[in-house]
Amino acid sequence: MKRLGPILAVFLLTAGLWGCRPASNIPDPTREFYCNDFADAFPAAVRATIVAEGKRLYEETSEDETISGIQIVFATFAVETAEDIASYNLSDIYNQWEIGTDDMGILVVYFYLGDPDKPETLELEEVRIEVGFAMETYLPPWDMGDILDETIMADESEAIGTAHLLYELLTVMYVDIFGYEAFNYDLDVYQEYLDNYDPYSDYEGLWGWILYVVMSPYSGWWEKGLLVLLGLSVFGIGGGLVKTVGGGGRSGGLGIRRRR
Amino acid sequence: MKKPVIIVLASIGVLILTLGIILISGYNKLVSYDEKIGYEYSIIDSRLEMRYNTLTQLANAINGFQAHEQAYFEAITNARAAYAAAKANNDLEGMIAADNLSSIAMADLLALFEDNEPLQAMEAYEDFNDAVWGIESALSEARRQYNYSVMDYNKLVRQFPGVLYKSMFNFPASQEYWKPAEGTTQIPDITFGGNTGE
Repeated sequence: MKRLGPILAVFLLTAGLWGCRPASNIPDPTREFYCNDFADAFPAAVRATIVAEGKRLYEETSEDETISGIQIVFATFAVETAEDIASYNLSDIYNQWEIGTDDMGILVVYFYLGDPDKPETLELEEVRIEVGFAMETYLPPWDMGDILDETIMADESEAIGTAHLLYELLTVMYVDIFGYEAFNYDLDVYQEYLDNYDPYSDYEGLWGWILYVVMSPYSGWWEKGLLVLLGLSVFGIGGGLVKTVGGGGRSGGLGIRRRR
Repeated sequence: MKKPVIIVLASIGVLILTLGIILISGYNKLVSYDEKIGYEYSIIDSRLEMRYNTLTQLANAINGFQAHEQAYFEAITNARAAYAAAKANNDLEGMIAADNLSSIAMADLLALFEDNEPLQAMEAYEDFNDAVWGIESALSEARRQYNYSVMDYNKLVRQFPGVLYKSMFNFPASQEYWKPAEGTTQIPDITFGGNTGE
């Protein structure tokens, strides 16, 4: 029986490995999840907008009993040649990141052509949208195509075009799915926001508090403990505590693309 | 009862229990892999239905523009009928052949659009472009996922101990891949001289 134990253990272990696929080369989503700017192409203001609107949409739709949590996720990739784009399968990315609860998700991917190590040389080559199975009803390919034509393909500025694209997708989500009467946005106001964006504005309060806890003799032990916990959650050990994750959705490959 | 007898009986009991668990889990694994193929096939089926609907819309759109539009309708109808017949007979090869037929009908229609400027000037032209690209992309993904699930199943029933379970529970020795004819799986590179379709 002593000899049978290890043999049985190996048998059970190998039995569990049936049907495994080769390891995927798709990167994990970033901690921000809604904006995965791997090409480092988006301005900080646009990244902040995508993340804030993505979180808000997911929270609001998750709270609703009739709608599953909708997630709109952006990603950018830098490629050296246009042929390299074919190596990115959007369905694989979508399924690995598990976007949207009950397949109610949208993945928008920008492909930039140029030297990946020099973000200033990158030029937008192709934009693709892929939707989850359940989202196909609300966003058929011709509607996706129209939205791309009227936003990122039409606007001169990529930053405005991206915000425009996001707001148009949000309009479909809030009006067609959520039942709002309208979803209003103003791109002139957004341009002002872009012009005056302070990348540190979102963190001012937090940095101030961190400095206070570290430097001030008046800060309490509970505050120091809280800071340590926050540090652990941000820098590794407890990373899962703050990382936003996908809602478990799957895509069937229905999407659209536009080339510049 | 003597101690050695208890030990032997307990060992036999543990062995039977372990073998039972292994058999149940092996059987369940076979069932889930087999079911996965059925699920992935159902997606191909629904995508092909979407393609036939789009083809019919495209063929309707050319009504009046082309003297031989009836030929396009016939090609689509034939492909659809061939698929339905093959599906009814559970004939995978026939279904794949029908998939190829509808790919050819799609290619012919796209070529017709490419050669006719009045067709390209239609209001719904851009929508057709997007519908075709979207559906072909989805169909290509459905075939890929189907073939992955077939690969997983075939590996399972050819490897040990899956090969034993397959014989024991009378499961098929292998499943057939969805292999469309060469050139028909490519997602059409739609340009039609437009600047936004691509």
